[in-house]
Amino acid sequence: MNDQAANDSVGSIRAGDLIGRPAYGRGGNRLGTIADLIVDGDIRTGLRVTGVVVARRPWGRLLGYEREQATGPWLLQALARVVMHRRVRTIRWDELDHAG
Amino acid sequence: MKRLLGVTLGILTAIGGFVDIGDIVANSEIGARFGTALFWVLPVGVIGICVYAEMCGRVAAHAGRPVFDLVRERLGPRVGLANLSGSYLVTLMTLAAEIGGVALAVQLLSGIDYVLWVPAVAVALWLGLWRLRFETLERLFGLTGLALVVLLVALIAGDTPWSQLAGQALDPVPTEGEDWNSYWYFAIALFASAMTPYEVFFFSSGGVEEHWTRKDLLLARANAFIGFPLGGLLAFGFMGTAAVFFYPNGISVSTLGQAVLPAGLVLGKIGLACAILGVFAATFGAAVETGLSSGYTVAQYFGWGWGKYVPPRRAARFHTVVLLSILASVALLLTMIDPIQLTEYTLILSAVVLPLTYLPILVVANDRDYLGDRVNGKLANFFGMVYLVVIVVAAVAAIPLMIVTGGGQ
Amino acid sequence: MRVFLGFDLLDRQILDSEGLPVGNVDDIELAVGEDGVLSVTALLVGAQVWGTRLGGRLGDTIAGMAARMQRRTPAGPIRIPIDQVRETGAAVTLAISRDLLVEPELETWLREHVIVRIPGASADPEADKS
Repeated sequence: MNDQAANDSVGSIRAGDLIGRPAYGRGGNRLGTIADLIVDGDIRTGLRVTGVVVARRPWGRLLGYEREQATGPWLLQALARVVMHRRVRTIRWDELDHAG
Repeated sequence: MKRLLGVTLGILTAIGGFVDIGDIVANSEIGARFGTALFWVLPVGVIGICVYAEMCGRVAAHAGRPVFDLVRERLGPRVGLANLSGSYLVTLMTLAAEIGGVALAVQLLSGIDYVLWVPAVAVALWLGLWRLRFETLERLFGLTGLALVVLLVALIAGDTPWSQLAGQALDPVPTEGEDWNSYWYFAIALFASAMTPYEVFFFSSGGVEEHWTRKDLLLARANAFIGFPLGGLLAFGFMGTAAVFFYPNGISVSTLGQAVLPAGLVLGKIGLACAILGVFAATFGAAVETGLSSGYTVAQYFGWGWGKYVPPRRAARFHTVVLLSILASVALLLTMIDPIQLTEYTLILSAVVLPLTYLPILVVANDRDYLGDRVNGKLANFFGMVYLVVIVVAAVAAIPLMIVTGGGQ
Repeated sequence: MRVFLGFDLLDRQILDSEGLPVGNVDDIELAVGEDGVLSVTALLVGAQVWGTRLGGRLGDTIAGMAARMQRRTPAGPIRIPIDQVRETGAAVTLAISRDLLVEPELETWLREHVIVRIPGASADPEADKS
């Protein structure tokens, strides 16, 4: 069944709206900028956002070195760590303040 | 025989990178001004493009994905768009130059001004891209372009002072009347042209057009490791003959006619005819390469259907971009801009776009989601990193050098 | 399974069940649950979505133009429900053929008004392979 109707009604947002926005913890403290959204589950039970990757700076791409499958020229990895990964961490979804 | 023909993709790609109209005149000009003092740039460029083309070929064969998919995916939509704009502009300007180059080759044969040939060349190009199969285009222009080997033949058959040439090649310093600024300007220009982005766009898209699969890894490698060294050799034909004939007499080279002259001087009319035929095929091949690449880049960034492996009606946006690019090129040429001057501006612009193109390739070549066990080994990563650094250095130095030397004057 | 939306899905090429290109993942639609939990509902494709995500004056202009020029109904971007995704990897592969999806209007318009008018537009290059 292929529903092509756009669903812009209240109750749906886009990933592009979240990525790049600042992230705040429950205590109101600013954690950084949302760099990516982590999703767990499967097609049947639903793919739910369970966490975010937060970076200190609003960089668009992290080149993927935070994942396990990426190996790589160690120099690039080291550079990526230095330049972009300063305080990149994974925050659980329920640790975030959802007003932001 | 079929196996041998399987490397024509590499040969055609290399022709566009080493002996397109800009390179032909640039290599001659460099030979005339510097002798063989800049010879080292050719093998350095060949190795660089071999390393990265092999990575792209591996990704095309193993994962079925062409380069521009990787660019948007790894750099993101904004930086990816910046790359697209730069790469497309470079490809378009080069396309215009190549169409002009074909017209110049015809002018050499006919005596009729090249501008009058431009519309005919553009129509022939578009017809070829519309109707001929990808494989046919590869073989026709890749193999006929090899006629440029006549310049190497002239070098070998003539009275070439090999020890002098070798001596100068091993003493890579500016020659009389030149300084380090112009030396490095031309070194960067030559290096940038050996590694222009549209080569990897075309090579990887071509691999997908040829339906390379995981079993074709060896074929992809053969294309890279045979095609590009051949291209470098052909380029040396121009550099070497200019070093022998023009350098000792302090004659500077700026036209296509001068670049092919040595073939006529050594081998007579047949040599000259061969050279002009080679130039015609090589520039037409480069026009095919840049014409298709103008469509590949835009279509792959936006995720549209693309390629010659489907009927045109199934890739309407792709074919429209190709058509519009050819029309824009003709318009550009009709402003009477010198095609050879055009390539000089393009070279430096492409040096600046290079890092954004090659970084995603190196990153993806290490990604197991893409390549499984076929990710880069230590050797590929070593060379990949070294060349990435060289590319960044070249990109940073390109524009200041262009300003300081006034475009190599 | 665990998926990084930005890395594994966004800006990836979408292929249909036969490996033919469908588009790029220009954005992803998330449904907001009552408990504040977001779940992925669809992939979004098209110039409107891409323009909005790009942001800035350029992006907004393009998104606006694409929305104004759209003639199919219901209005809105091309939406691929997430349950049509078969696998993610180098590209995002769907379980269905692209014939079942809405074709981008630009492709349709160009095919009907430009490409088809030129002889040879339907020629299948693979047909006469020796």
